[in-house]
Amino acid sequence: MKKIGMVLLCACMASCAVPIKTPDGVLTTVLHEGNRDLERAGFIAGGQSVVYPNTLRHVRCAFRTHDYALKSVEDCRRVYMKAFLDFTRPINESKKLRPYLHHYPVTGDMIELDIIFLDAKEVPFTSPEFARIHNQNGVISYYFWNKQTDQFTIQHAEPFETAKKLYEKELLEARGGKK
Amino acid sequence: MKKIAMMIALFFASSCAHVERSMKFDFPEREPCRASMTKWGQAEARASQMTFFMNENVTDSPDVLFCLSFLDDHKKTLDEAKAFVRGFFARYVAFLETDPAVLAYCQSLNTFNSAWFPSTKPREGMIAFKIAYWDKEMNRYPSPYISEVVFAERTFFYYDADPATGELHLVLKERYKDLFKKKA
Repeated sequence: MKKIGMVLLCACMASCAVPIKTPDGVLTTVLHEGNRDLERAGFIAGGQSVVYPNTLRHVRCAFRTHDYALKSVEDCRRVYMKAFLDFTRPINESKKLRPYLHHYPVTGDMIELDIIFLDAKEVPFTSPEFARIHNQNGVISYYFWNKQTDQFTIQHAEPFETAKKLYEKELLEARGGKK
Repeated sequence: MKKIAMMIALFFASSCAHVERSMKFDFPEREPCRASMTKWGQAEARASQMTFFMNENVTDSPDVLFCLSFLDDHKKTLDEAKAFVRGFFARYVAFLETDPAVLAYCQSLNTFNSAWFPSTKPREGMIAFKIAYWDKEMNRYPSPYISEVVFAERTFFYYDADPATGELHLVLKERYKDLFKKKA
């Protein structure tokens, strides 16, 4: 518990060091709104940093959760994409922030969302449950936690756009083909 | 667990590095240059019925040193945008090549590193601008209207928007030299 606390403290301190030039604090409000949406789904915000050298180019954010024990890539993709879209919805919908976005609507490589799945003892799940999902440079990686080596190991990786299309297709099928 | 702590701390701390790097090399001539560019951008925006947005590099090109961006709520087709951009760009380059504050900054860059900045005037590769077309509700105009024009890396990029998602699609890419060859 203390260790996780340290991790989150370090992450928050590091993110506070980045000077953020927000249009009237809109970005801060919008990111908090995204956090709230994820908190409702059982994710706990760990830390955030924003690369904002003129326009909003990159957001890094970390969440942890105890509410999911995911054994398949399909389940992971479903949970991750929903979290990603919940997090980015307020960013895309904010009309004040819109001209400041480097790409609108925000793209997969603009948001580096890191989710760690922990058990009740605050320890990452071990195989067969996935322990971490991370999107970087437009590639989503799904990890197992190796207790012996104390490391995350990639089990599967796919382009963000592929994952998004698969998720949207699944949603469409669930709605009976209606958009 | 220590490794996780280290990893996450590094993950966030690394994002501070670029800010520090960008602060290391600066010149006293830079601020007057920026002020002069902003003043010109504001005047140009008023004259062209646009909104001056910012005087920062908003492009993906790391070589850009001179960049202005504007917002425009007028609907423009590709041909209208091209006609406007041609005149705008000629005025922009003429300003950059003659403004004393810009030239003083170029001179200081040239003195600092002539291999990197061989001329005492801005080169096309270092010049950029962006005009984003948004309606009054901050939505993009659907095709056939243009949603964004960017000049960077000696190339004009014209984009229109997907009516459903608002995503940009490249409509036309025009090299700087081709544009002025046609004009001649």
